[in-house]
Amino acid sequence: MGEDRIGEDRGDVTVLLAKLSKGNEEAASKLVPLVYAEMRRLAGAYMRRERSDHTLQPTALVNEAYLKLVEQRSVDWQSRAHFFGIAAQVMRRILVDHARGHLRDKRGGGQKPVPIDEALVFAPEQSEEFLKLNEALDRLTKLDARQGKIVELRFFGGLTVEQTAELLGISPKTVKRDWSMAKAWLHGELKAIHGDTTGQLGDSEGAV
Amino acid sequence: MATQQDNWETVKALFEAALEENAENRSSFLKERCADASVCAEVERLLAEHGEAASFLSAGPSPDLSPDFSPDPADDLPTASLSAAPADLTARTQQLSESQVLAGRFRIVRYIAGGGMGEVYEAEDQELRERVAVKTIRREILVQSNAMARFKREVFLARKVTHPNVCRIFDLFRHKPEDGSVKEEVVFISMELLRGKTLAARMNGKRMSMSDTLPLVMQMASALAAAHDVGIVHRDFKPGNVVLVGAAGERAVVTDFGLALQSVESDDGVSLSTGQGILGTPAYMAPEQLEGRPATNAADIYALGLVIYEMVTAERPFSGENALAASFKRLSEPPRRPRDFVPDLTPAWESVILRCLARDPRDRFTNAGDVARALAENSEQTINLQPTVALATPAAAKISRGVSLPRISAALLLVVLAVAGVYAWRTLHPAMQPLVVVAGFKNSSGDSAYDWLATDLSETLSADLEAGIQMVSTDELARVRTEFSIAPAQNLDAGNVAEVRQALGANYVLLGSYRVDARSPEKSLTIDLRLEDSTEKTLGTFHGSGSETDYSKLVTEVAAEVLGKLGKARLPETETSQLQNIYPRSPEGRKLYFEAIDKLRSLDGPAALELLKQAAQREPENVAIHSALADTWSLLKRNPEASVEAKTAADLAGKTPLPFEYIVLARARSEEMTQEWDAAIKDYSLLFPHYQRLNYGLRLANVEVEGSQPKAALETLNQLSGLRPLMNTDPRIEIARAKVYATMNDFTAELRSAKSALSEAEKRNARLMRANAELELCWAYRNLGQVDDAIAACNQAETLFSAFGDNINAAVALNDVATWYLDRGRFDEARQAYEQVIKIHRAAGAQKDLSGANVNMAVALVKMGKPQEAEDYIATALKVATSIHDDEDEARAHVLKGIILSAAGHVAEAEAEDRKSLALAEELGNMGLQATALSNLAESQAETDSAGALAAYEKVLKLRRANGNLAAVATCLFNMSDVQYRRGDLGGAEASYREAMQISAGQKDRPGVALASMSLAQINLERNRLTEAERQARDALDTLKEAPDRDLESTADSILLKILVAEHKLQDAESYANRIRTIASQDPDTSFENRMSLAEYLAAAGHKADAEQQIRTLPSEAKQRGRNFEALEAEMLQLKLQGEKQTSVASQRAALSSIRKRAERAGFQLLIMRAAHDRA
Repeated sequence: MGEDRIGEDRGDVTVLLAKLSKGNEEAASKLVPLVYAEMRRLAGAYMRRERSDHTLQPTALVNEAYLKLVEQRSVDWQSRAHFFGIAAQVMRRILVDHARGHLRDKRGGGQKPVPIDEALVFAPEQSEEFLKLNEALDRLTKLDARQGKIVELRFFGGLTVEQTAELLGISPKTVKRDWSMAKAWLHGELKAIHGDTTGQLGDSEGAV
Repeated sequence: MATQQDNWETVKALFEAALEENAENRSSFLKERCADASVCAEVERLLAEHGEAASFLSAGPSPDLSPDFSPDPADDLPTASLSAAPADLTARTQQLSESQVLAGRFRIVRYIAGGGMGEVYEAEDQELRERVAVKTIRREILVQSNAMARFKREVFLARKVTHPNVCRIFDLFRHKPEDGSVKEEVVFISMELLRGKTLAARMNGKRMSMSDTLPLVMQMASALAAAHDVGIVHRDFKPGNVVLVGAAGERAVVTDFGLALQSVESDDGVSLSTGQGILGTPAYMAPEQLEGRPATNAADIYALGLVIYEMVTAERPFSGENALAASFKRLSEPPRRPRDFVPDLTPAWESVILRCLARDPRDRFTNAGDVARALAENSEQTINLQPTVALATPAAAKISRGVSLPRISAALLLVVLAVAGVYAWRTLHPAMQPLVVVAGFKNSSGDSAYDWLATDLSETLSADLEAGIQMVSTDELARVRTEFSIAPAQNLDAGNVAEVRQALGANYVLLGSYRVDARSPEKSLTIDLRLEDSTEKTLGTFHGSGSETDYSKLVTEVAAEVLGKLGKARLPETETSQLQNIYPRSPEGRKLYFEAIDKLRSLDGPAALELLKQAAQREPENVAIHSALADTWSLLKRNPEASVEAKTAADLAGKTPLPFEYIVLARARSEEMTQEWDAAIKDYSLLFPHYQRLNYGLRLANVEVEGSQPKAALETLNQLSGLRPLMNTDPRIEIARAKVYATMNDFTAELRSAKSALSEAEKRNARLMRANAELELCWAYRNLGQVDDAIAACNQAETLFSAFGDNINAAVALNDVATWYLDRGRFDEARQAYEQVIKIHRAAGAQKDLSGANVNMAVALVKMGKPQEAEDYIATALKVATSIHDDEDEARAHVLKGIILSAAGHVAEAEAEDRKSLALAEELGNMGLQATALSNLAESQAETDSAGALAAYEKVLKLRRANGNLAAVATCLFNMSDVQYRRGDLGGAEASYREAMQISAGQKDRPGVALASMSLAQINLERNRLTEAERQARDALDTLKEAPDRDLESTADSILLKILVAEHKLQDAESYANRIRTIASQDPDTSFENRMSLAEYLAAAGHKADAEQQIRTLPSEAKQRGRNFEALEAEMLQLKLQGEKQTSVASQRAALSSIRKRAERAGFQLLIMRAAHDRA
């Protein structure tokens, strides 16, 4: 049964990616839940293996998602880039879920942690910091949507400068410039938050 | 910040513009542009953040960030210095000033330190826009004899070391003062700029704990070992030469490798240290260095011992009033025991340290890595060390490829790095990671019916442990056993286990035994296991027993215990159950399967096949059985069957709950066998470098080469140097590299790699790898045209393979030998060798090689002038090649068929064959075959359309030159110049012949030289330069005396005869005429040219009737054979002879004009020129 489902998803995802490549933006909204479900499922299953080597899990996670969801032989570069663009968003979301789960857990909030528990994505003490980064990234996106997107693609999706440039339809030089500034800005934000007490939280929604 | 939104675009524009400026100009730049103070402040703030954010969000070495980002060039906030030195020592010189530009490239940013060797500056490399360290070398050192040469050598060597714990050396420069800014020439070295503090500063006179010390020692030892591997001795290892970088100073980088050489050899008391060392007193020198003997690796190990001593005790082992006195003590006294200072130190650590400090270099550790290993193994935290060393593995640092997955994976690792900080990324340096080998199981029940269980237990235990710890693969163990000629049934014992362990680079060994109680109803099994470390100390024993039905559960239980002992958690149920899906389930299936594996490993393909077929009948759905079947077919070189089995295995793996690695591997293997290169590359990229296995890396490189991505393959092979020691220098890496270079037509590099593979294999006494290296060497020589060396290497390979009973590989080597014989014209030897090769392949049913050998045999026979015999082999080759869709052999067979047909005068049929082969060769993209087919086509074309033929030969020449095979270039030049000659382009022909001659001479190809010489004689005959022509023709004959070749000799005779006739030297001519006549009487097929020159001679000697008789039928014969040029030439000669018999002028003219017309049509200007000449 499980195989059948994967088989279906694989076809769906491949077709949706092709649609997306042709400019059908609606496809993206259908893709995200598929990718999300699969990556979550894999994350849960995967984290229980290969304990010996901490470094493998997240890597294999996206690889495996790609492998399971996309018929590689019938996919062109653009579709692949779109997939990783979406995987970047999803990865970010999973990490946020996970970090929140950890925090709830830590505070004994009664709620069960998300399935990727005990896993190695990051330790609880990093969760707080990660969530702050996530919020800062949200603020950056409000100030400069393109810079926000670039950080997401590069940082969460692992796209290179060139890939990012191609996906966003801008020049690599622009990506580099935006990336420099985005990093500087985010660095300042995080430092302001935990570095000195006078730092302002800005328009943080204060989720934590 | 409320105003952020409003000002964003302005701030952004200014920020970006400012970044384009040099760091020190930014502030003034901003002042000029900034209208709004708040904007200005915001930009300033961001610039400052930018400086600190260099590694933010991209911490660690990030392969997919362009160099612009890591390290950030605009980052001008160095936190510490390289080789920091106390100011008082260094204030004295300071040769260079800030902003000064050295060698037109390095702008000095600031002074960092000075010392005995010279000074260190931070500089900006304006060419590459990055910060580097520039180290100047003092004049006093440079004036020593050969100093420059030695420096160059050191830099040359040091550049070869790329290791995360070794400071990279970039280049050596001389800065010649032109502007007068410096008084004298400055010699300096550019190197990696490190930001951090030195180990000396970190120690700062305080003790460090063992757990803080160990990770640093591991890295320093690994750095020293890496340098020692390429032949560099540090000579001045000390805390001041170790820089601790990274947020917590967790990465230790050793600097100044080999650069102390000059100082060591000077007697003038110059400081040997660049940093905090004491002038003139080498505090960290080994006794033998102090005695003035050359420093070896052992000296570095001594220094390492001193450094460890100092780290854990904060004391030096030899104390004296001053450092000099202390140094003398080192020569005469034993060191003070570290535990005198620190009683807490374990005795094991103390003994390791003291062993480093042995007075006699031979008593020390031989390898720096052993020091760290010994400490690690004697540390309580042996296996739990991961959390203490934060070090990106080199493999992760080196990942870089196109759009494909690995890069994305690498970046995902960065997520871990950045988000989780160093915690999740902490891992041991590869050299220190435990590597366990299951050395085998002894059947102690005495019942040989259960021998197969030994393999079963080894395999399943390895697989179970693999999930928790790095294991030596069972295949690799089998290979090493073969290398050491340890029979499959033989158990490893104290005598050979150490040898095997060392050959594998393993640091833990599991030795087992089992007993089956066959009488008990449930056939109970008892397992005993012993775990020992590299010092052969037993770390633990394990015991388990159970019934036949749950053997695998029993193994799982024991594996969990072993993992526990090694500090690893036991595997969760889900995972162990996945692992149990790998091997057959029923005892019968297992028995058949593991017996087959033993056969497969002893290269007994047919026996393995039989067992596996039975196993597959019992358990048709088992992945392992089908993948072993694929391996077996592949061993038998039966590729179609191998592909089918591999595909089955991959399909089954997709349906079976197996670990990810196994699923991907099964699919990758299948794609490899079905030659779906892109897919195979993708899948192997999922395995390597994520799983640090040599085998995966080699396979990835292989499919990259096959998929026409040689550069990616080289990159993959480079990444293999990040594997643990021993694995990272495995000869197979260089063999693979040689293969890549061969596909890139870089045969010199191919040879270099093959040689280094061979020497590494010899060093390891690994005969199987040696055989493979010899084979590669053979190819490299062959590609470079050094045929004798090639034959020697191939013969060597054949002998080695045969010794292992590996007939198929021996046949491959033998085939190569035969081919080289063929190249040298040693046809009989070639034929014999091919016969043997065909026999082996036929017996093994190796279709691919069988068709190839048949083609080769046919080539030999054609070259031997036995086309009829060749035809049978060609027919066989065509049949086999078509049946297995081997386009290449099919094309080659067509080429041969074309040659035979064309030799028999069937021009049209020959052309059809050539076109078939050309089409196949083009489709294959095989340049060599393309050139051959094209060349054969040109040969037929040459008779009717010499212009077309010339164009074709030009194409061929280009292909041949691109390939770099000189012999083939020469052959093409010969063919081409013949056409040029016929076209009357005597100058062009001469040039081509001369080049062909030069190449032939270079290749020591005497027949080639003779052919060129006689061809040049022919040209000079045409030009009526008879003396020169005669000399050249005689030269040719002389040359042929040393390298007899009947055909060439008779051609040379006939050319010389023509020349002598033209010179009216009829007496001289007679003997050559007689020789030709003799040949003609023995062989009615004597070449047309012989008969023509004979006719010319006869005519000149007054025997006109004989002359006419000689060539009477020649035009029609030649025409029949498609030899248009010779037909016309003969007709012309006939006409000439008739002319002397006074036939009518009118009919002569008509005949001549007909000849001219036909000659013109074919482009034979030479004949037209001759006609004009004759008329005159």
